[in-house]
Amino acid sequence: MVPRIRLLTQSAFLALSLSVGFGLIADRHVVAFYHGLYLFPTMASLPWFALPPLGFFSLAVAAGLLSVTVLTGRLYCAFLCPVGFLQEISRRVGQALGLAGRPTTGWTAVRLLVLASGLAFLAKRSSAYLYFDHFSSLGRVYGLFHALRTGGPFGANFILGLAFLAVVMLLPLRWPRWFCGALCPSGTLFMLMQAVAPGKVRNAGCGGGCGKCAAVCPSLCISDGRIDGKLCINCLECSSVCAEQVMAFTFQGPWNRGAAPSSASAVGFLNRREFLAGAGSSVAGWAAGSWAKRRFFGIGPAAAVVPPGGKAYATFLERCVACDTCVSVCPSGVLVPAGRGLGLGGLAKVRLDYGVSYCAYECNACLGVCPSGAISYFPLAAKKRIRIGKSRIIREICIPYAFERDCGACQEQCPTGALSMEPFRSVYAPVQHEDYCIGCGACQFACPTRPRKAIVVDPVEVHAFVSPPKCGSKIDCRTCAVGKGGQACWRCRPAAAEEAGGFPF
Amino acid sequence: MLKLGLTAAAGGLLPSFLRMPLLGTEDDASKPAQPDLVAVRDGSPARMFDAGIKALGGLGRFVKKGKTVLVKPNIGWDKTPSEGATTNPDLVGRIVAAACEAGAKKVYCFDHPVNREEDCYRRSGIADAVKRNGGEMRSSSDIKAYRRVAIPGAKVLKEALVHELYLDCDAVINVPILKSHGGGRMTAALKNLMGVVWDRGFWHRNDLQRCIVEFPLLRKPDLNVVDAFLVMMENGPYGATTDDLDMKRMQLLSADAVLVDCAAAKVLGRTPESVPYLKMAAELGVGSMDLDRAAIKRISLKV
Repeated sequence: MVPRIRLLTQSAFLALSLSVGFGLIADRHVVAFYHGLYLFPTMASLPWFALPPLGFFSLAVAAGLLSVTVLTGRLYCAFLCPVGFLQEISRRVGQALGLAGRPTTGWTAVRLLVLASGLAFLAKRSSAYLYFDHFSSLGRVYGLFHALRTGGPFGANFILGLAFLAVVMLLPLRWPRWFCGALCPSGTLFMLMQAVAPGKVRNAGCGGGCGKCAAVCPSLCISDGRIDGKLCINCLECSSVCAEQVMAFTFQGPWNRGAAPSSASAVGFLNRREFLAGAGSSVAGWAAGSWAKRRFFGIGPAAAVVPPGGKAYATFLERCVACDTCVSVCPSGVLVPAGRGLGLGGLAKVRLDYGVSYCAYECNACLGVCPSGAISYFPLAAKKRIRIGKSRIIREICIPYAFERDCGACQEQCPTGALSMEPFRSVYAPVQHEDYCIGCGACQFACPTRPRKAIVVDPVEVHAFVSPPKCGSKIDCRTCAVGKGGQACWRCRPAAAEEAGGFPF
Repeated sequence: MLKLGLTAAAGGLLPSFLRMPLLGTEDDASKPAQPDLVAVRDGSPARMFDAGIKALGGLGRFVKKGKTVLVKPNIGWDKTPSEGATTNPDLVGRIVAAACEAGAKKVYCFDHPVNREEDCYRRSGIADAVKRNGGEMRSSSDIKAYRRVAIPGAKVLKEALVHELYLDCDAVINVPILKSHGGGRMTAALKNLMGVVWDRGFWHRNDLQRCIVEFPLLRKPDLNVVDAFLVMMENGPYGATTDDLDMKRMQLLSADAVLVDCAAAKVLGRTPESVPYLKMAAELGVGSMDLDRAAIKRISLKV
């Protein structure tokens, strides 16, 4: 029964994570629920009040996840986690190949080091924990398929995704759930919670004579009836095969501790040496994280345009976990993994590439999917007014200015009226009205000059809301140049004399 | 009986007898004279088309039984019909239905939009209108649908990648929306044909005005229906705000793309001479700029 339920819930969650990761599910409630389970990024959005869509719902899900874990152990790892599921599949393959399994032991100090440094990154406003975080890593694995489908880029993201795929698909062939037992910071946090949880699988005194429990354990954490609490994921497989029901899920709190045999000997956790090493590595991890944040993961001046909703270049990169979810859902393909271009602090994160496409005016797809709060949600009407960059005309190579030929490709595409075509010698040339420019890059993308574009979008440090387009209104009429000694606009001109039949011709 | 037959014969002869001195040969006399340009106003786009095409001699003049038809609207932008950036979907739907009624074997519709094709097709309402009226919407985002052809007599746009439907369909009905245009000054019938080529950048790079004029040397549309119902007077062709829209409630129909564009320029409140490509088009023999000498039929549907 238990294996069947686990298979069902695990496959359902893998399907959900695939659908969300590839942008097939766009329902914001489903996405928010999924993101609530995305523990590190959701925790990361807490202190900044930068909540993803339906953020409080996500927070409630995260709080629920933590409560369930602290009461009943690592049910999440056993029944839901897609990364755990992938590793179990890998272990099955290993069994089929006849590889003898070995438990993933001896990593306690490393695990605590990773967790402590991750928490330090969280506290110091850096998303550098992303290299070990299972959810962001899984996003990069999905990103592999996106990159293959769209023909690249095969940079830092691709390498990180490939490395994680290798870790979760190859190492568990021999060491079951190697990632869970050696690196996963969420898993380590849950391990600590399970140690104090009243509800978990316990051995009520069996010496492990029949060996059935040890044979079915997906983590290989039972030997001679002893459960290794550092590896146990509370999956209930052992209790489901135990004929005597000695190995069973029980609740033991302060209220009934005396009734059952002491759990200290039955559930092995940290011995004295492990505890000291763990405490030491936790402190070291925290210090290392803080130092690394200052030393390596700082964010430089704006070097790229980042998505609307990112609020500021540095703020966005501090929060982005490089999970590639926004890259997968972007309909125009303008969102690309940044690779190494933005320094170590921006490694593998996201930027807009106006050589590839431009940020569509009528679209806010990426604003609804970000799990880390790096891209805050804004409704479409608000997103249309967010400035993420500023355009700049290079007159020396601009076709009307340089060659006196009509072009207008940039103005044609400008959605906000930040460009207008004004008389220049015998032709019309583009003129900027930067109060309206949102930096969407439509002009840069459309500009026909090669190899350099005659209009480019420069990144801005801080995003801001721009004025709504006002042409045609009496207050700020850009079109009408009467005051500047030019032509009146069509509204201000006297109506053309109409011939018979009401037509002007 | 005899009396009745005589009356009928006389009745049949009378009209041709009356026309003979005015129009020369009897062959000409049997066909009623067609106006060069029909201008309709004050009706819904679909109603104005019905009235206009009737005055132009019926759609049967342009669409033959069992032949294929391409309806080419402006679907260039991811905008709703109320934003005046794309051709009115009711008009496109009506033309598709009329072409089907006229016996067309197949009625196709496409545009190579500036924004993403799916978004433009859906939000403009045109894909829906075409399907509902028995036409077929074709994609334009695959370069495989385009063929490289030489443009006869062209100096700048010597060859282009042109959508196969524009080359292969028996009749082309060009259905632009009238707008101001930053680079071209205005967009209507001639400029709308830019939406059947793959590489628009080439036009912008190598003298936009000249390319607009040279492309119709390949093939002129058989009929142009200019949608001037909701007109973007300034800041086109995208239109940052609906403040620039004027409700003109007009429609212009003609087989001559240059003539219809000259009338359209006047609807925009400009002179045809102020649009460089119109002068060049007349010089190149693409059409006539002479609105004064053209036979114009003006129709008002105001009740």
